[in-house]
Amino acid sequence: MTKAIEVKNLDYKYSDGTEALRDISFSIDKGSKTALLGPNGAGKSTLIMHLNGILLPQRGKVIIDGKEVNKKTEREIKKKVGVVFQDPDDQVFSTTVWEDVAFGPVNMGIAEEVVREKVEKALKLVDMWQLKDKMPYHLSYGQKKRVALAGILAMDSDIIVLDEPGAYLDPRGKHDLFEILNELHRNKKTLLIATHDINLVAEWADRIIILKEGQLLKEGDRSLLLEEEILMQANLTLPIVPSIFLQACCQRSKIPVTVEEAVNILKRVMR
Amino acid sequence: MLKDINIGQYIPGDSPVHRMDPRVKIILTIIYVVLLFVINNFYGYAISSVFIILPVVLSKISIRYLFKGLRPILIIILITVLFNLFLTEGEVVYRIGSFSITKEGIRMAAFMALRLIFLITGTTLLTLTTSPIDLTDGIERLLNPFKRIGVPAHELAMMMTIALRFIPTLLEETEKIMKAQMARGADFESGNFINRAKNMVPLLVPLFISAFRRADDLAMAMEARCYRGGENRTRMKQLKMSAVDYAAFAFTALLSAGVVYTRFFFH
Repeated sequence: MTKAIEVKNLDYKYSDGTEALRDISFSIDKGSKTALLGPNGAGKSTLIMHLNGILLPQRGKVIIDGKEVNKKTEREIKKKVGVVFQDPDDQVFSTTVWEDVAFGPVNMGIAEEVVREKVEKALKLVDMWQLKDKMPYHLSYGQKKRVALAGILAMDSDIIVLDEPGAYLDPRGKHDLFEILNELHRNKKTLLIATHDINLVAEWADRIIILKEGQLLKEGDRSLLLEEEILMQANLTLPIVPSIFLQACCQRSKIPVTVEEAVNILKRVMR
Repeated sequence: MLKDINIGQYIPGDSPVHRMDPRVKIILTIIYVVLLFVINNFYGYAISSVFIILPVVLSKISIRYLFKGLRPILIIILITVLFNLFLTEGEVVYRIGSFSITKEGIRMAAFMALRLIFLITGTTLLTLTTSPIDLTDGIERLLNPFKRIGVPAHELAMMMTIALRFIPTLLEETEKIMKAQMARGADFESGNFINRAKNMVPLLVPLFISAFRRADDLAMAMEARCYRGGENRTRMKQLKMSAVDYAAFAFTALLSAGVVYTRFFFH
């Protein structure tokens, strides 16, 4: 099966000489929920820009669904990979929510009827359909964030990348957003989020990629979240659930990562 | 992309020229510019070249930067020279078709070229050796006496300082928004003029909104720290004239006298 995203020996240097990415290689399966972790300035954002052709590789390759990203495929890749940026205010500009969500599909040259359909579907998925005629600037931050996400969903990309999706959201907003992401997961989308919210990652991701200073520090499944030393190197800490269980007891292989797993263990013990 | 733009082009240093009081530097630059237009013979230019070469040497700024400042106006100098060369009436020296070069024309062309080169070099030297903050500080102090006739000196200076502070931020913001819109297939590079202008809307709207929001936040943060305009504000850095400044004044006075002398007595 072709991978959704394949990155091979990717290098990127900014014009002022900063080496943002050095020899990065990894791949992501279709339909997976991947978290890209790393401290500020580790190169997460730069890496994301490469995934939909906003930046083109200076050395190495980025292959999306079997297609290499380059000058020629750039437009096609942008349809395949949707990127939701951290600050919705960078993205939302139209006078109504509806128009803003339609911006992407219109740019892709889709017929009006189809655009209407896609916008409706996207807005309903993020639960913003009833606010479709509102001015975006009158919405709350969480609502704007959902509009920004709908703007990407309306482009019907198979792969969706979110930069710091949880930032500045209140707990309820965060919860709602991740409900939407789970819904997308059920719809067979490939999801990648860049974040340093380690607890969200513990609850949500099935695959972890850790960057540090432009290099790939470690890649693996959720058991990576128990490796305190590696997490420390990337300015991260253990997620709260494994942190409690590692201090309180028990065999490494039995340490839970999510709240649900922890609850199951506690139920058994307390019964 | 946009980060390569260099604004203010101040080059930090610790030379006597850098340490001079910005007020003095601004005044001397103005005097110098006026002098350049008083001069009408080559002796005057010889004297004023001393005036410019000395601070350049003292400032230890590489000549390369001065040439960089000259490059954009090279074409203007060239046009001025050509106009003066061909369109001045007088004793004909050389003839090309219906155009003729006159003795007076050569003289005028040389004067104009020297004048422009000296002018740009002088003002470039000011911005190269004075940080934008010092410069606005100097301007504020120089405008202070005009407050009585309603010139808002402090406000102007504060506006300049804030504008300078936010240029890099806004450039960064522009780049971020461009990337966010490009991710949705926006196109900023192709199409004819009207299409391009239209395509700027998704960039300009978020940019303006964020600029206004920033301005609002900044104003609030300043007020929270008791900012109430220039009244009763003390200063961190008191501008003080030093020996270098007095020497520069004396030097300028001497040269100005020399220039004026050549204008009236060598003709």
